[in-house]
Amino acid sequence: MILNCLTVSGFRNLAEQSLPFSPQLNIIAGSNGQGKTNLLEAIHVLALSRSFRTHQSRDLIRHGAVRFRVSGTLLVKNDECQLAVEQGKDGKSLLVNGSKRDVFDYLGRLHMATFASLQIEQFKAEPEYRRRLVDRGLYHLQPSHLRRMALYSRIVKQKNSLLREAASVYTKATAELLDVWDQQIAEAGAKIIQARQLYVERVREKLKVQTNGFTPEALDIKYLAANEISSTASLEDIQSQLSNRLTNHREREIRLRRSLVGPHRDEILAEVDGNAIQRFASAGQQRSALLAFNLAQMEVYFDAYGEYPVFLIDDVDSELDAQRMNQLLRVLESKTQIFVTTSKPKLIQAGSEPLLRQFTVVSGRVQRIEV
Amino acid sequence: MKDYAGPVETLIEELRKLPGIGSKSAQRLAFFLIRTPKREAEKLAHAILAAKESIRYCSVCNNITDVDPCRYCSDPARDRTVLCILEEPHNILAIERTREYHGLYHVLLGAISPLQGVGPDQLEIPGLMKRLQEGQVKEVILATNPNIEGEATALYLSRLIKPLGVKVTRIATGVPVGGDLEYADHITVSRALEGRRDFSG
Repeated sequence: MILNCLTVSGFRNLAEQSLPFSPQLNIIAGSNGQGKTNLLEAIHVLALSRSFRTHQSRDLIRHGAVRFRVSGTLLVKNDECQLAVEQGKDGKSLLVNGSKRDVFDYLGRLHMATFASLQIEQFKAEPEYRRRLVDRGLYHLQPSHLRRMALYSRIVKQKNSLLREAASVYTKATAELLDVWDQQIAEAGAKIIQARQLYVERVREKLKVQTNGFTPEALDIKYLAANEISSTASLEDIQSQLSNRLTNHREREIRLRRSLVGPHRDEILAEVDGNAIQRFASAGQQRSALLAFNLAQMEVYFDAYGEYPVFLIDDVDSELDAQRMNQLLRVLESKTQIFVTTSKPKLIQAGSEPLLRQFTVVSGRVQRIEV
Repeated sequence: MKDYAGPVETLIEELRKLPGIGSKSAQRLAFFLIRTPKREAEKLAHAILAAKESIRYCSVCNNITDVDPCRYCSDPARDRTVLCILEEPHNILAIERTREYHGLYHVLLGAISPLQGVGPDQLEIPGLMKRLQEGQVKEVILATNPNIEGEATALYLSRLIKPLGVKVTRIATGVPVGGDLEYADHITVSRALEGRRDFSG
């Protein structure tokens, strides 16, 4: 998968411009505050319709502009496809080849992995981010997963609302109603758990055989569904285990006024030698774990599609030393298209005749420079 | 500060309360009404009031009607052993259009949704239970919408009704007939796969 060309207007501090990218390595250089990361952010928005830095897409509109537009030409196995995301004051439009699509139909066209400091932090500290990493990988393989997650989170919202009522008055009628929502959580949740288990298992297998110099030895990924559901359980099994757990936690859920059982609370743990990296690993190991996880996800993706997703790396030199950075670029450039931002482009060594393009960003204006 | 003369502003405000009408549509409708001849405006006002005054909910099934009980409930040709449960009166039309259902209806006037403060007490369930206890109904078809609120309502009712020994069925979900499989969304197709049936060709 290759992003051939990106056109931005009204986006952050970026000047209105079209950028022709290399199918392999794209280096985006510039001093701090010039707009390097904004460019990566634009690619991220094109892929996922939202930013990795803010949930408010309106914040991405350049000061003084009324809307932004990010569009790109995507080359998927020699077929061209035009994607565009437009955001005005009153809403967002997602377009594929010029026609509007809903979010479920738009997402999953430009596939992408992102490696940035913020993500390392999130990978370490936020269970929700780790679930999202798995869910994103998963909906590439199983598009219905996205809609299923949307339905599921609405069930949880409804149940939470009922739990807040139940905290003040808990009657037999409320119990009967909670039963109904629990049944829906068990049904919809079991499907999500089973899909995640299968996916995590595939990522684990890739981790075991990975020899790219980035995968810490004895790195393992575990999916803890409702604490103890076995990964070999059948859908009916998962559902009945969830139901039991929901019943056992009823009182606690009412006391805490929120839903505590189901895939929205599951844990995805990265461990080195059996120790959770969130607590026991060094910053370097955590960084490697996220990278290894990303690379393993890419391989799972490759098995399904026969090509790799594009790879974004923000501020590469702050996360990796020169040697490891170049080692990573060598691993990636034979496989996929890469976008890296850096303030020290000189540290990057070109591989064996890669198709390298370098850009510099000065005050939001991106210029291609010959290397 | 108001943008328009008081009465215009009031008209826009009132129109804006209608479902599916935002500020812009409300403005457009208001200016259309102001330009129409007075007689037309009176006709509209009269139609609204007449509907409001003569239309009520059927005391048996909660359909909207001008005669009570409504024409479905009082039709002797209809099958009184089957009851189709719906969220809203206008859902009856969707079923009636098929001309294939000849049983009776019961409208709940909503669906369970804690987020909107709607629980079973806000729905027309007591009347339903009373009808079922009369013993004539042999099958209840749960035709609430196939979204999570409709599903919750169906689940709730089925738990309530099954102990009465009445057969409970739920309408099927799946791909639209005459359409192209390609245009159905993932979840619909995946549900249709789950709900597949034996097929004798």
